[in-house]
Amino acid sequence: MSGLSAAYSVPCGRAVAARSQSQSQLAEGQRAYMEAASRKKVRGGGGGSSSSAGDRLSDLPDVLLDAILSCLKARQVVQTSVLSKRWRHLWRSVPCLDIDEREFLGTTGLDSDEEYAYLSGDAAQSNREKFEEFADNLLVHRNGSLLDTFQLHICGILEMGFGATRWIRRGLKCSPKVLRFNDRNKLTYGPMPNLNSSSGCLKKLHLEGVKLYDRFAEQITSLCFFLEVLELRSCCLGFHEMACPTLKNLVVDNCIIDFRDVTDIIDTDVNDELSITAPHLSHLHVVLEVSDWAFSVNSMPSLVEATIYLQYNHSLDMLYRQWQFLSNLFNAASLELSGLQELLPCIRGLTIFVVFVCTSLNTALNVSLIWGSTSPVKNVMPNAEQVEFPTFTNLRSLLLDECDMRDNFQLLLKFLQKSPNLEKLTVRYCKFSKGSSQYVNFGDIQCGKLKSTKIMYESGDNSRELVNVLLDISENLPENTITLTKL
Amino acid sequence: MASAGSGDEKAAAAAMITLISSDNEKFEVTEATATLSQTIRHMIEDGCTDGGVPLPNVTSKILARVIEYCKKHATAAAGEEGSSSSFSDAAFLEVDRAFLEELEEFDDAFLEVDRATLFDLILAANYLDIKGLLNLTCQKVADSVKGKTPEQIREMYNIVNDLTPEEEAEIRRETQWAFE
Repeated sequence: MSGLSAAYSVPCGRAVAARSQSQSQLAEGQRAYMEAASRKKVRGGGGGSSSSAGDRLSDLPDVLLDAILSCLKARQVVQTSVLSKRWRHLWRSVPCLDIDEREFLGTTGLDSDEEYAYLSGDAAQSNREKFEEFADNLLVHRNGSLLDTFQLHICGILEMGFGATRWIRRGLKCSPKVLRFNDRNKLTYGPMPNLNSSSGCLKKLHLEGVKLYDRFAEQITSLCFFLEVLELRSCCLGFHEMACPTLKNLVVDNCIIDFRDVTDIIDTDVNDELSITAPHLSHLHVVLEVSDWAFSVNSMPSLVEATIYLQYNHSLDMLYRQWQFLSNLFNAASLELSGLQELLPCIRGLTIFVVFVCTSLNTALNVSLIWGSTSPVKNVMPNAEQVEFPTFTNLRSLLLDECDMRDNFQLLLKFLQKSPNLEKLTVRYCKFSKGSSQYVNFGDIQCGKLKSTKIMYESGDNSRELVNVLLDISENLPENTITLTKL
Repeated sequence: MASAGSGDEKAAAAAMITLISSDNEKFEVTEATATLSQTIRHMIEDGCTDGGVPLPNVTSKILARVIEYCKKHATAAAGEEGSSSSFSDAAFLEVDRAFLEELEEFDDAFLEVDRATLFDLILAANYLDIKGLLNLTCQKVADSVKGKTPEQIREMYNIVNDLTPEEEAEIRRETQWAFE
């Protein structure tokens, strides 16, 4: 045995006590390896099975079986308890739990709308009861060890609020680093249970289909000191402010903002703004249906990449509200801009502001701007000359998607003028005016690094105008290659 | 000869690490490749790699595969770093995406191995503490049993059911809520 342990000793002549991390790491690996080896020996020596292949799976040390079981959904994990003695209690301590109602629908892996077309009537009731019993029992009977990841996926059209809140609460008690909750029930927004001190370990929080109130935002600020990723999909946002200094990645996708349930605000002077403060944000992805409420993300000096997609219905009042949000943001970012009044009701102005949001003062590397408009707004062309653009020093890649270019390309030219390091420009599904444009040639455009301009258009788009403009200023774009793609 | 080596050559040589498999085969790899293994990274930091790193738990056959994985993924890691500092074409999103796809294809092809090799890779990834490889190989095993009944899993992996019928009935009773 001594010979064996010598062979496994750390291959380092100068092993020092002061720095024993690598040693302990190696030692751990060796222990796991030897555990596996010795188990194999016992099995082989015991002569239980003479199968030539042997049971390599069961021979793995607990830590590796845990890792494998962590990739499976919870119901199947529990079912492994009958495989053999070795497996009997493993399920109780698996560090990643994935409780998924789809395991009770008879079909797994459905990821389309089919899963919402859930059985109705008695069968649904019976499935739901089985699932509830499963989730309750699982959370009671596991051994209470801490969790790395807690995932809960529910679906179906039965009423919300059954057990999900209680399961999330139990999951949170095990101090997970990652919590993912998907409620695919499209009919209701269930309430998010309270976070508490054991939620302090959360690094990633993914929520779908819940309603989030002020309480949630306060708890994020006061309890989650390590939160780096916050992903809110198809949620109803009913909070006003959230501050999260550690946040790096924020996704707000397909959410609605609605404060109507906030009962403590009755007077007419309601605060109907939602603002998120995340000074260390590097990635921002926002797909938001603009409602009667305002949404903003405050200063983001470390922003690397942003995708913003605002869907709005064409009421100017809404645009006005949206503009308010953007101007708030602008204030927070201490941007120097003039000419705001003129831009007030116009889409182009809005677009520019969104870009300010994305770039948050010159730091963004990639900007994707997707402007989904449901109806064109006429005669509100901006006066881009009156807008003081900052210089987008870091901007390398700009995507203008579904943008309105009928402003004589002023927005685009402004960007070119103020983005000295731009390397790639993509213009996709944009609207162009028919007939010759009368654009002002910004003489000081210097995009020496612009290598590629991709124009993607549909038949009927008058992209010829854009090509003309680019050719006109081609002296200022010495390295540029224009690619036209018909989609 | 050795003393005549210039400083540059020495630096280049220092960046190479020799890994020695259990059957005494030597593999020379760059430091960038080797440090995908946290275990080896710590040894390099401790200055314990002179004269090679003996890996008594890993055969040459498995070590060669592990190195293949590390080489590919070390390039990927280097590419990511490069893109953020010097913003080359690779930084553009679709190029990144293409690269990620390529990496995924590599991983898929890499996992086309027999079961014995897969388990050897899991143990080696654990021993060398290579997180990406460990996740990849464990996921592969999990995928192979996904949706299978306990009986099917036993058959697939030669798991001998050493539970008495009474014991098995008892477990099924205890965890009835997961079976019905």
